Amino acid sequence: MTILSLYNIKGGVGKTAAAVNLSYLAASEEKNTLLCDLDPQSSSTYYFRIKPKMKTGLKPLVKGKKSLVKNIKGTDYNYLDLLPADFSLRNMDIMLDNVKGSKHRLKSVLKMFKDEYDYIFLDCPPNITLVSENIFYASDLILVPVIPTTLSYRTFEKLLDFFKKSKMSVNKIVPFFSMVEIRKNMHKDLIEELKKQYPFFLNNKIPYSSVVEKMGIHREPLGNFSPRSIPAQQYQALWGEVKKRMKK
Amino acid sequence: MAYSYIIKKTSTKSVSQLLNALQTNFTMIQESKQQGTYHYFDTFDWRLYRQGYYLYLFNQYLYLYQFTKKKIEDREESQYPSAEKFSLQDGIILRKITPIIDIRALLCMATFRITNQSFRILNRDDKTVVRIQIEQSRIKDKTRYKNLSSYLEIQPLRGYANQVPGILKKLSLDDLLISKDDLLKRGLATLGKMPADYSSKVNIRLTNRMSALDATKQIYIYLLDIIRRNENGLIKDIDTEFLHDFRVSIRRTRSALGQIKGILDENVVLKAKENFSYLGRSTNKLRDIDVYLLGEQQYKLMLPVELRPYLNSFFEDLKEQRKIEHQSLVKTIKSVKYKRILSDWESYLKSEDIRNRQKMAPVRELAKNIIMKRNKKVLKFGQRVLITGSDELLHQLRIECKKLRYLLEFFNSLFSQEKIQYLVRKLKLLQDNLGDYNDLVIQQKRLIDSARDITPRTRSGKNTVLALGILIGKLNEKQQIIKKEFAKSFSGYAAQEVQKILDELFQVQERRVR
Repeated sequence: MTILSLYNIKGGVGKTAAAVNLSYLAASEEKNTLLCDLDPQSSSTYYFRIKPKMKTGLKPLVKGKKSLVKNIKGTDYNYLDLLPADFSLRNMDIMLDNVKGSKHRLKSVLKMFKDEYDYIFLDCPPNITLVSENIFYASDLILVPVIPTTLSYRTFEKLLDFFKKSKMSVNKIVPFFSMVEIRKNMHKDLIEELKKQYPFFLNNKIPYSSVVEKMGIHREPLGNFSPRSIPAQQYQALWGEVKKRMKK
Repeated sequence: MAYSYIIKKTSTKSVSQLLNALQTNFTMIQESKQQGTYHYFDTFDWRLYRQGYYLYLFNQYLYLYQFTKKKIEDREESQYPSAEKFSLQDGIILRKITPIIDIRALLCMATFRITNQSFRILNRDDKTVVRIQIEQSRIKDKTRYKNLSSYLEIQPLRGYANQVPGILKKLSLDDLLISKDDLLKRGLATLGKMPADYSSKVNIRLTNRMSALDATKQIYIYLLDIIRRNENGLIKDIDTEFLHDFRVSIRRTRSALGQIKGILDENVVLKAKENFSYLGRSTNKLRDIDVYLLGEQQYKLMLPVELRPYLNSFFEDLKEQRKIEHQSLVKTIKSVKYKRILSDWESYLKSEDIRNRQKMAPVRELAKNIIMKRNKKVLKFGQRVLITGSDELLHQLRIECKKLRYLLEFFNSLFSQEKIQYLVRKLKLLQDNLGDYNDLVIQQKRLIDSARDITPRTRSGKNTVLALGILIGKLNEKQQIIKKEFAKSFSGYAAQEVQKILDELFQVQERRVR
């Protein structure tokens, strides 16, 4: 079982779109896949036409497998399940605080799925909190979508700093360019600069595209409603690259 | 969890009426409609099924499906076999199943014509909550096709099981019958059959209440059935195991005739002994050749590489001889004499016998008596072999062991399975040693005869004789090694703890009668 999280301190960088499309691609290879929507905005949940949980609270993740399993929903696609977002997740930090070994709590809960799922994707909330620290520990790879803008660049460096300060391995961090507008010279230049500085950026880039935005109207992964579009193909290529990175 | 039903034969509603009932009450869209033919393959004794596999061909693809895990293990392109036996092309599937099927051939066990429709039921958000599958199928019965009851599967998506009761409400439950069986099982049931209905292992169900007469007859009827079921595969020469099982059942019958005394009509037994001895003899040569041919690779590996090709002519000759022997056996099986032997035997077994006290005594007592008697003989011969090392006695011991083994198999349902299995395991170790020894003796004898028949005028002829000579030498070496192991394997069986269990099971003065 491999745990992949989609994470960025900054919001609106194409994190959810990547989580939905990559998990869809993993499942289409007949691998049992679970997408956990940990973002209180519940966009992943919305894309799969599933209703977010209102009442159960965040207990499932903290309490353990039994109550977690009860909340998992099958998506319309074979091999792909979803753990819906929970509005009360915003309180998760407070909850986690009261649990022993709280930084490793998520990891130990997800471990229980090792026979059931080949991949677990975590669509993460922005900010660095106790939840994100749990995510960092639990993940085998942390996929970080980065828009080639100065602000994005700065938040990416903050993430690296945080890792170094907390003495966590930066090898887990796998950044890739997201919402790229190749006509913009600033994007082009920044991509070149960043790649020079951080050669571990993935080569495939996700373009800025209205097709991706239409996912909200279709409420389906790109691969299902527009499999031949350029972004769909780019996600496919990106997924191939991520798999190679996993082997390393 | 899926909810599986068959639509009762008595139902007045057609499949389309059931679908209509759903369509008027739910948002339902058709996902796919597939038509095609399924062919299921397995060995005659269902080796794949017993290991939890289905091997089936559907729309030019061969699937290896693990039904215990509900998982397709592999899939590859394939054509329907042109011959009765299915010779798979080299590939992942062949490599995976070879250790399971071993020397047995694959046969088509069932053929289905199927129409499969699948639907999705959506909720208000147009999210799929339940998948519905409807399967209409027919199974091939010789030349015709027979309808199966239609099959309905309701599969809620994970987390949506609460939708199912609402759906079931709209389908009248009076029309449905819960079904746990998969397609193959349902299909075979339509033909009055089931998977794994043949095994080369003896499986005779006797009960303690049976009389010696009824039980004895049941043993023979069982063996006769095995003989008959192997005829077709033997005639068509599908694989060598048909002959093997055919022969073993004849041998078991003969062994029973010799050991179970005073139960059947004496004249009938006398005649049967003669008849089954004739049948056994008519299979000997063909089986001998099979044993050589099955060992071809092993023989060659015993030789230096440069001599290996010179064994080819030897094996080619054997293959030619095999054709003749097979023809001759087929002729025997198709003969009036053969048919009469079996049908006379059968009608006797199914007729009423004169009953007396001995015949009506409980079978358990009979079984105990003859097993103990045979065990004494095994121990006696074994001891004598240990002292004398005589080949003649070794041969006799092998036959005594075989007789004992058959008895344990015939009567095993009357005793503790665990203990019987333990005894059989111990006995088998001894038998393996004796069997290997005997095989080596016979093989050497035959090879010596074959070598003598060759007139080595040509260089290749000389080389063949040389190769056979080396082979005989190697076999002899092996024979000596195996003989040295005899003492160990015999004492393993004669050991106190084994004999104690034999006594516990079969000692006639038993305090507690179960």
